[in-house]
Amino acid sequence: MAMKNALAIHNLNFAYEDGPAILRDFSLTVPEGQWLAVVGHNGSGKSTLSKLLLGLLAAQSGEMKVFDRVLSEETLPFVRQQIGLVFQNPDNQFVGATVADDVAFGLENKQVDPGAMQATIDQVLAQVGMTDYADRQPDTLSGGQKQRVALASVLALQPKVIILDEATAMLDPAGKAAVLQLLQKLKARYQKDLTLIMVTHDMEEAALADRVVGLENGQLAFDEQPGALFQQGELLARLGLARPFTSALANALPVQPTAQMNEQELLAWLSASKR
Amino acid sequence: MNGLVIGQFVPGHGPLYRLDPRTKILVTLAYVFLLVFANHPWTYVWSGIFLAAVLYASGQKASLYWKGLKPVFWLILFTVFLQVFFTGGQPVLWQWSFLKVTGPGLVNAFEVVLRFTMIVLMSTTLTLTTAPTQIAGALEALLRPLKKIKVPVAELSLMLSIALRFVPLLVNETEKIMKAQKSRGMSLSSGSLIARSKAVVPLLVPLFVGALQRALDLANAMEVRGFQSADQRTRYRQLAFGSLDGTVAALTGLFVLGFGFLWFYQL
Amino acid sequence: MVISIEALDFAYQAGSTKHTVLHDINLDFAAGQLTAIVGQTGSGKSTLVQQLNALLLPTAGQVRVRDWVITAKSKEKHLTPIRKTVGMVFQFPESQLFAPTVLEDVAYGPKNFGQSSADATAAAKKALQAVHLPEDYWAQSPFNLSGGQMRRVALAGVLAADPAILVFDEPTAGLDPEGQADFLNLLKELKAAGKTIILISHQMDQVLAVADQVVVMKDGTVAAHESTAALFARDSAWFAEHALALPSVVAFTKKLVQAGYHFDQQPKTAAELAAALTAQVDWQLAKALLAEQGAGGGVQ
Repeated sequence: MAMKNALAIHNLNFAYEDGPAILRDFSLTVPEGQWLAVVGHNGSGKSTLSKLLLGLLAAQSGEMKVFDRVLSEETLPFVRQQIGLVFQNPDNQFVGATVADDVAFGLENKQVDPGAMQATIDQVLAQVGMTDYADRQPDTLSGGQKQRVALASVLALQPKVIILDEATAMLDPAGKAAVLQLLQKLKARYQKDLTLIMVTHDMEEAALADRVVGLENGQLAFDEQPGALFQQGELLARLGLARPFTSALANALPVQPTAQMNEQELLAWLSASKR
Repeated sequence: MNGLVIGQFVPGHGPLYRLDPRTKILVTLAYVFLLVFANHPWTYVWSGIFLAAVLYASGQKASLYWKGLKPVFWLILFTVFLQVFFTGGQPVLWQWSFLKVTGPGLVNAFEVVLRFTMIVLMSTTLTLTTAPTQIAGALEALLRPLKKIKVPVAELSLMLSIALRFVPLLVNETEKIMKAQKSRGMSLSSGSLIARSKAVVPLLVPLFVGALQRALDLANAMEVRGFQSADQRTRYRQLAFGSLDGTVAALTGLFVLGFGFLWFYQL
Repeated sequence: MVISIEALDFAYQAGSTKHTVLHDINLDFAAGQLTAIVGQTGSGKSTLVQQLNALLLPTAGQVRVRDWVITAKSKEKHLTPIRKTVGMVFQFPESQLFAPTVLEDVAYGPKNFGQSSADATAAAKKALQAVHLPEDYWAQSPFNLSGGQMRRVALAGVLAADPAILVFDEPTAGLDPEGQADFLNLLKELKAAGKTIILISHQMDQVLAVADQVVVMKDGTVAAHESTAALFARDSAWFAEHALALPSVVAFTKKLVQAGYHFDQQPKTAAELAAALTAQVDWQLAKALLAEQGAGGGVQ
């Protein structure tokens, strides 16, 4: 059976009013169930992309299909049902007065029966490990906890695609680790039913994905698997991206393994070759 | 962070926390309204008993209320001053130029302090035991009849609850910007009035820009989660009167009747 | 010592409870050194550095900055010279920008500290050059710049008053790798110019790259204060206990040491580690092993 495409973007062009082109004839297809990382330095247009997909910005030309339906004024409610978006700033997307109220916000908009809400809220808070915080106010939570609530709020609406728009950029290492761990758990649980798109400039995060696409000057600069990408030091440097340590070390040795080695393999090889 | 601000919500477990916010708002309004009519010692004693019961039912410590009263202390002192020195009548106990202390003046001052304190304590109890969003929700429900005359009650209530949600954030932000500008040598305590008001610009501009950014982000976040109009939504927090509300309504009715009796016969 | 913290306690009152944030802090910072302060969120790092320019006053104990002493009784009007000496860059400092143009914003500090308009503008230009913000932007509104550029303007706004001591509170949060690398270069330049620098950071690879000394905070107390080399010589368990991440290069070095390798000092980058390994590896054997695994090998 052929795989359906979650997203199909074709020849998209976008610029802010009086600004330079942010996206230029940009095309990208994302099969259903893929874990994709969209990387690029600040200002490369990667965050604009998620806003365009959810109709928060309007492209000048081009076409976007979400599960085969072309994004337009009429299909916008359908599109927003399919795609959940977690933003960068943990504080600015927390609508409710408490954790439970925030999760309820989307359900209220969908006009879900109030009696049915509690079960959903309990379920998604359990998924993100925030059950004990249901009655907490946002100013008593850490950044990482707020982002997990944001994810729960998105999960409550049962989207098929979740986009994380630099969702860990403002978190401390512990908060970031918790969010990334949660994403891995969700992906393992929903498998093909969940398409994950991470917009990021963090290569450790990108390493978790199945596929990494890079943006440069509003166009696709590369489209690779993480392992293959990390071997291209010059390309990463040109895009202002950091090379993960293992790959940087392997590259700096006088004899290099041609295939990508993970940390354990590299260590085992070096340990066995000691003079 | 320090002390208690009037209108602050403090989570707790007293029976008042389980009351429907509409009940609390209506009882508070009824109480404040009746106090205006208090005219004789027994009406005050009767109101005092009711207040004591309410304070007890909040389950909060007396020290918290004391902190709530402190900010209005000077206001009370000022009214006392006016009442004591500017009320006419007999007997005159002390006089100096246009200032005089009279018997009725002392009685008036005492009554004003009493009334004022009771009103502050009662309304503090309302805000202390009711989360801001609950107050917003209850107001929406109580004002629903105004929808008929095209007042956008749902929108106003949503705006109010979101505004309240952002207060702690803005307070934090103000503190942070203040510290940043102080580190760059800002001083608000010296210079002429014009110089001082100019000195506020480095605080206000960043605060405004930050708030605007937050508002734009929040609007996006609301929109992608399917928000279209404040009217076309269901409510997670359902307001429902319970047996406790019935009990409170009965007790309040008893209080109103008793008050009316004392007031009418001027006991 | 240019800064000494002596028996410092800090607590604040919320409602009827007292929260102790810092307890019995004793620290010295030597002139010209770069000290990193690390520790979990909530361990008291930010509260600690805000004592250094008297934005917060200690509840007990004192802070000495050169000849000034900050105590619980310090008066706001006497603090200006301290704030001129200790420059403070907050987290996400771009949120403090306010002036109509970049140049005016950067000149705000020096003007407040008593410089004439002309001197302040000259100082601002120098600071903007130091953060490498191209001159084309100087007359623009700071709000029209990109996030990374705004960050530079905010940095310049603190550098312009030419403080001898600079405190940075997570200055690279939210920056992309390029922006982070630029900032590290700026730190090195500032250090070369003789500044005393205090850097709060969550990024241990940054600490490894630039710090002379490290202070580890835990639950409002100082858990360690030592040279960077001494810190990274501690075992992995100690780092886990203090909720600190080991930089990849350090973690890998420790594993190589267990495998019998020897390093005179901790390599700071992948390239340094590779160079230190070169003489210790039998590359003929390494190549043979690769061929055996079918992974292939290429000689550079």
